Amino acid sequence: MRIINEPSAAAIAYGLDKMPPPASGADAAGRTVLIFDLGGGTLDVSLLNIARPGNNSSSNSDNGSFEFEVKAVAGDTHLGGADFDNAMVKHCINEFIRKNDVAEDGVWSNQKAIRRLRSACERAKRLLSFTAQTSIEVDSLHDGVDFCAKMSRSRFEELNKELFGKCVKAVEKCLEDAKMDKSAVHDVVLVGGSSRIPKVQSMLHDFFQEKKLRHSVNPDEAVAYGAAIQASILNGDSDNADADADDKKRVMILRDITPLSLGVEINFDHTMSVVIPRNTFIPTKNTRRYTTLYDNQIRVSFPVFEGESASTLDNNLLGKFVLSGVLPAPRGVPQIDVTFDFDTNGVLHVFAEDMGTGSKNNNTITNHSGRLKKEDVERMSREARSYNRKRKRTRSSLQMNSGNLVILE
Amino acid sequence: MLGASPKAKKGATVKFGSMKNPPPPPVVGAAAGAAAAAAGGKVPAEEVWEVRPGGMLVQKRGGGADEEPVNVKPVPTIRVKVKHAGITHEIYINSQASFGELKKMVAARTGLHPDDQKVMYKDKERDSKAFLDMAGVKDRSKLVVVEDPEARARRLIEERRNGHLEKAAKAVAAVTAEVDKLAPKVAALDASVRKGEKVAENDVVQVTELLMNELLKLDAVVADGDVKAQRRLQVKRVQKYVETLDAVMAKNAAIVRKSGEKLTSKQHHHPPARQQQQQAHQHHQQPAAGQTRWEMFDLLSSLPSTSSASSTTTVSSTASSGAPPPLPPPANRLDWMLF
Repeated sequence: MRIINEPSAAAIAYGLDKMPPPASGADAAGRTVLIFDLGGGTLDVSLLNIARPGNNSSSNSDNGSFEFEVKAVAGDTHLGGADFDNAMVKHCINEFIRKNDVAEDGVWSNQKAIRRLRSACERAKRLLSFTAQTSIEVDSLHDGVDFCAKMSRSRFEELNKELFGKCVKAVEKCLEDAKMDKSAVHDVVLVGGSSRIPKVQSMLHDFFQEKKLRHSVNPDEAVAYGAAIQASILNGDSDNADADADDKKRVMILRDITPLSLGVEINFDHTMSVVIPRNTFIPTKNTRRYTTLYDNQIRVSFPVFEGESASTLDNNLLGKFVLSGVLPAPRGVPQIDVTFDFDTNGVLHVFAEDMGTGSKNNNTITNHSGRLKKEDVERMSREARSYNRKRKRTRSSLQMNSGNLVILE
Repeated sequence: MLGASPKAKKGATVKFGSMKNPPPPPVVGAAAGAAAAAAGGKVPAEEVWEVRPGGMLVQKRGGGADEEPVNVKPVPTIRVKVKHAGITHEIYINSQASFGELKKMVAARTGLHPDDQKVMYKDKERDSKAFLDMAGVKDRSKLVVVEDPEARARRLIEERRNGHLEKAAKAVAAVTAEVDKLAPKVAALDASVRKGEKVAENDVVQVTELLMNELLKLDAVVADGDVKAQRRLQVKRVQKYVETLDAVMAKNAAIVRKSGEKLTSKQHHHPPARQQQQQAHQHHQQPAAGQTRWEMFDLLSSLPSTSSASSTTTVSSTASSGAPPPLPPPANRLDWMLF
């Protein structure tokens, strides 16, 4: 029993593991699959290689094991369907203000009106996947004034032009990290509800030069579907004894990589010190040496962060622990080794050891794929209220960090 | 007198002669003979006159013969042969019935909806309101029934549109029922605050959240005409309740602050001024209200603030998770109508 990563599950959902290696390419290289996952709050692009190590002859191909190797991962942990909705909401509010000559502050501060408008915009977004034009109507939106506007697919695409551009850039970055050309990709799998947006599909279609996209499985269910298939195989469910024997031989080898860099916060200015850089194969283990910041410091704190920014303020805090028992000494003298051990299931074990005294401490962080936990959402909501009281302008950072939850002031 | 009697005799003679000529005379002659026998000396004159009425009587009998066919006509049911899709149906129908009624009987046989039928008689399409006998349809006449695809499409579209309107009306009615359930709670909370009693903030938040959910459901209803007016009416109603609850929240905050200030034993002079200022703030903007709330929590412990925030977050996440399911149906509806 083990944990399977999402891109591999998505590939299994489409039966890509059962397909023979393409004749045109080198057989040893196997099949290259790009998994494009655009959900409600995050964008994940993964480049997979599905190979049969060892025997490649056709007679034995059905009995061979499979190797899922993640070549590269890219994406944006703060890009998804909610962002498209927000762009539409902003446009509609500006339209409402322009038409009815209403005070701008009044509308933006009316949270209930914005909530109703967001629901209407989301419905319109869904409709625009099937029709070229629709209308957004909300009775008595603000101060008893009705709102009614037309929204066409082309306008929707214009409003979200930058966001769609980010999607393509993520794909380009993924291929670049894997040092591969787009012509080397054999299959493109679409996952996530927002991958139904026609513009997304046409962009990927154009980018991969008319290669057919795979989206026949319900994008909301593809990952779960593939995981269920794999579970069935591992369980050995089979009506045929011979097939049962064959199924037991089908061992899956998963080679995953870290999607984001991992490190700790150092210095007084929230500097991010990377211990495991992004796209490192897992399992992996890496150690870096740190020291104290103050004279006679006897306790050292290690906040563990995940992300690509040089400042931890823009990265995700995964966990935190404290190493105590450090001998008093001038700052910079103690030698503390911090080890990041990323196991095959995506679980991060962090150890800290004082090389002088031998004292140790550790922490274990389970993989949550960069998505916010419920506690984080609640904490950020409280912080937002606190900031609101203190009249601090933190809208942009909150929008960036809160993922699926957008807190408007 | 004598002169008159010779004339009468001559007339009688002449009549006898004329009656002898045609073949049917024997019957008429017998009748005339009977009349003559009945007459006395003077009666012959009357007989002559009566003979003419007798002749008239003969004519009347002919009229009676004419009447009989007239009596028969309303009664007869004609047999009509109707051909549809290669099959001929024999239908018994009143000759004075309309083509519309014929279509109904054909529908019973063929299953083809009456509105979808085109009836052809003598190569002409006949209107449903026309009558069979006026069109010349008689016993054993042959008619052809053809399916009218345009009429069928029109009927189906009309049915679908009515279905949508009915569905929208039901949705609005369902929301109305839900709001009716929540209205007493709003009234109760409002009454409590008016009396100066403190109410649990969580209750106000919860009811507000339920009302907002109903409002979102109303926004998702796609309606036209009367249903749209009803929806608008309900939207106004729910908004009124929400505004009432917002006012309740503000008053409740003031009450809590007052009791808090009493606990901290602040000067009596300050409370009224602060209340007025904060009320002014509340009139201007909601963020001011938010600030007021947070200032209140500063006076108390931080726990209520935390629990309140958590509760709000949980409820909103529930609302957001609840939103997606109802969305697909509207898409399907509009999808069809736009096509």
